Amino acid sequence: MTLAVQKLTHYFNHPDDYLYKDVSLKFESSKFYAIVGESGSGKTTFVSFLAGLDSPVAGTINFNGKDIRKIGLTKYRNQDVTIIFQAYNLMTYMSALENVMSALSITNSKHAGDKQYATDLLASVGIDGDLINKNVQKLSGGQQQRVAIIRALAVDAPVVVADEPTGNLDSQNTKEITQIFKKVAHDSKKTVIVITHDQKVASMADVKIVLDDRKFTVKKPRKRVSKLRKIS
Amino acid sequence: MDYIKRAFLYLRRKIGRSLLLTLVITAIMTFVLAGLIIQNAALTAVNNSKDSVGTTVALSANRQKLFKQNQGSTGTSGFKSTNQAIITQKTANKLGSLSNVAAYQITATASVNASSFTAVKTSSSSSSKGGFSGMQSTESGDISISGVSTTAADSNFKNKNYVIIKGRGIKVSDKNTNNVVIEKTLASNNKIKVGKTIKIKNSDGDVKTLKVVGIYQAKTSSSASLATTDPSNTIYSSYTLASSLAGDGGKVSAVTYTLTDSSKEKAFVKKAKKLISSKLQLTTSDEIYELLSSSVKSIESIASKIVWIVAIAGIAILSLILILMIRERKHEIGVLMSLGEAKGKIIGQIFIETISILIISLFFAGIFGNLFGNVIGKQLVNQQTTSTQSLSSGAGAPGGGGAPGQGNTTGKGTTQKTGRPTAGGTSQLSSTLTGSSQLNKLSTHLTIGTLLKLGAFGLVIVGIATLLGSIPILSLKPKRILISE
Ligand SMILES: Nc1ncnc2c1ncn2[C@@H]1O[C@H](COP(=O)(O)OP(=O)(O)OP(=O)(O)O)[C@@H](O)[C@H]1O
Ligand SMILES: [Mg+2]
Repeated sequence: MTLAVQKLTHYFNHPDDYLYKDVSLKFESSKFYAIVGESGSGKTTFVSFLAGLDSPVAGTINFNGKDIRKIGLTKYRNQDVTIIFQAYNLMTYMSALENVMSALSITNSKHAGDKQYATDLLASVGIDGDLINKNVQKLSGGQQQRVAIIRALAVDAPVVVADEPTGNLDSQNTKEITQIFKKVAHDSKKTVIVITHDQKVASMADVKIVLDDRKFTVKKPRKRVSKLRKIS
Repeated sequence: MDYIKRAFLYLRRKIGRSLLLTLVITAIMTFVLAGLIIQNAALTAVNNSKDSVGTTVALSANRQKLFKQNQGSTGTSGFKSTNQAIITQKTANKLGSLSNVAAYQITATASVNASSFTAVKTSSSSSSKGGFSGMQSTESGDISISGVSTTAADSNFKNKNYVIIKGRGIKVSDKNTNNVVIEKTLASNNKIKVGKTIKIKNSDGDVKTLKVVGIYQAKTSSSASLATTDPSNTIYSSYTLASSLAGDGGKVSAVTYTLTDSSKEKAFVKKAKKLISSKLQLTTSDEIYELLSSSVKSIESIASKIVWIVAIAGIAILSLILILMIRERKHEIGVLMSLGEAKGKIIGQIFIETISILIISLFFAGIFGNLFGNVIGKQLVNQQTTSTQSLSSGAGAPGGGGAPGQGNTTGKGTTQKTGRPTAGGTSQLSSTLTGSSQLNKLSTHLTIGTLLKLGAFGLVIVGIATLLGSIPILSLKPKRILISE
């Protein structure tokens, strides 16, 4: 699986006020990416293209070599990508379990209708017992966000895109959730792309991408060995 | 969990919102149903009255013409002739022998006084009606004789307002006999049985013995209270007897010809006109029907206006509510869209929600609408009856209608003082009332047709409102919910 951004250019009003120009980037499976950048630099706009929620002025997003507009944005969102927002991720009239179950049904997941699968996944992030059947509005912010993440990971889509998923969480929750992202990327061989302000989150990523001065810079992670060397 | 299940889950979990929407849709549907019930009742009443009028042509005195003549000639006695009994039996029969006449009903009326018995006194004729009826019962006859060819062809009997309960009705063979049919209350008050004789006194003071061959029962009280005489004091006889009692020398007041075919009406009128004097006039059933149905038709048009106004207002109100409700759900809809749910299915979910609520609302509206329909229907009937009454007595509607004036006020002394509530006017009124009372009866019933119509209206109203409410979804960019507000 590859997700490739090719010659992406975007501006809202005037071509001179572009957010970015001719950006080409490649995202691979089994990797956890973090995108950082100043507020207003265009991170949310960028992931909205990756997630098929919007289209750029120029350039293409190719999923496995195929332009996602050719796939069809709705179909692409349904089958290939899954999105986590900073807030308002859940269907408020449903329980945690129902949220996951309805996502499985909408995306025609191979696990559609499998309550045990959904229950087990939720339990893996501590949503268990009474919690899974409670209305999600009665859960804490951290619990709700964990439900949203489990819903995104439960579906079959190989690409997971998240826009500041931990923005409203305390550091403990942030750490736990970031670890889940990383684990999913590695264990389930998914491509996880997370936008964050949080340097701690960024430092846990396999690849860090900085959006600065209208340019994307890929920072390769330091090798574990070099880390060790530094410590020693 | 597909969109259908999601819809029902939403309705259950957001029960407050569901109830609110149920309330609004029930209110709209109730008004639509009330309108439909009245409309349906009015339409049926028009059709029924058309049936009851049938294809008939009425022969009567040309009142306008006679009235003008009388204004020229001095003296009040001239009024007498404007009221009736200027049709000779010979003319009546001559027209009856024309082709395409299936049957004809000759009517004549007389006002007499009870002699061997006492007339029924009701509160309406003695007090509440004031001087009008009071004068009539004292100064002129307290009994009115309604002469017919057969009672079976009389509109009151045809409409089953009057029913023979003992003995038999007046038949053609009763011509030139003293056989009569009296009302049940009159019979029981005076202990008169079928086969007995009664005595009456006519205006010249002559006493006549009549033979009771049957007893009928007047069922409707509504027309009785509005008519000028208590129906119990109406005695049915052959027209020959009525004519002679009135001193009309065998002349009769009206003849109603029933034709074999409605298409023959014009041809009949054309031929008949050549045979009658200018003092007489012919009124076709179409004309009678027109008069009779106009009041009911106006109810129908009010009702259909109610339906359309409520429908349009309902669409507007419901669209607004749905737009607001859907706007509140924009995050939920954004989540669905981000999961790749098709817009069609999202709107489909909302449709299932509103249609489900519509079905529940239709059930409630069925209960309430029936109640309201009756109340409003009765109100309209009352209003309409009042206006019809003033119209027919005030404007002096033309023609002695198909029905012989049952509550006929032709007492010779009275009419001079009270204006001219003529046979024509009164019978017109009574037939209109028959139509209206049918409306009264009908409005209590909720037909399957009306319910289906209501369902169709509901679907259209809720459908359009849901579509209008869903327009924002079509233009909703899922990206918007990425930017948390
Ligand atoms: N629909 C729009 N029309 C016009 N300008 C827009 C629109 N959406 C975003 N922008 C502008 O584009 C720029 C990038 O916005 P974006 O939301 O992508 O920033 P961001 O990097 O996500 O910021 P933050 O870290 O605060 O979330 C901003 O200057 C914003 O004002
Ligand atoms: Mg942002």
